[in-house]
Amino acid sequence: MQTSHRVLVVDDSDHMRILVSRLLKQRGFQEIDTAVNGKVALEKVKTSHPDIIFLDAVMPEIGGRAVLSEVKKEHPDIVVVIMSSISACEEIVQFRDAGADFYLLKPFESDKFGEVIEKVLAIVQAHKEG
Amino acid sequence: MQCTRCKADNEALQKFCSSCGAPLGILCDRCGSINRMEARHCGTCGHALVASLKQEDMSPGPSEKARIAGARQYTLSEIEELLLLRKAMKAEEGSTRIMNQHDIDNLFE
Repeated sequence: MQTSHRVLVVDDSDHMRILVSRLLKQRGFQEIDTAVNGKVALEKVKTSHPDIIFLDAVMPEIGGRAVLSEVKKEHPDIVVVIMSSISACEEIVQFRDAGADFYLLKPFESDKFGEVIEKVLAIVQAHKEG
Repeated sequence: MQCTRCKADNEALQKFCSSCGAPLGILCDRCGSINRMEARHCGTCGHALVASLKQEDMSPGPSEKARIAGARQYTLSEIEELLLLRKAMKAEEGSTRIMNQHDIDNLFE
């Protein structure tokens, strides 16, 4: 099933950008863009206004939390999925409090990714209808 | 109930001795409730009472008196330093609590 939702994948790791983009394509996403760091991500958010962002938590210069706060301040309807290997409770709570919709712990299984995608799509659909 | 410290008789429901003020049971060190002497867990909060202060512990024995006499005296600034250190350690403990994906999913629901 194809979906027209726009997705931005933000990660400073080439491997992660390729992997997540591939998983999204397998699930019918066609409009997938990528950003190598937080600065590029914020520029792309302004110009293309994605529906969904897969956001790495730890990146040089502008980190994931700063990007998240900026995105949610300007575009609260964009669904943001944090991808990180950080498993410390306090840090995860900070992402949630900053507006993250989901948090995927790296490394994640393809099935878990699919499960999150289903929930993300439900939220995006609700935003569009509401 | 007889007070084990001063032997005065007290009503069954009393928590403290009406003669000497000693607790008439085991003091829960979590919630401060007084429990029956034979209780192993606090009837109020469920906390284990094994390490709690029993009434007989309220009066220090000879060895305890010797320990108190030989205890180091701390200055106010030393106590402040220790409290700060304790706070820092607690903060560090909090940040290292590890979550798995299941815990995280519950947090985000």
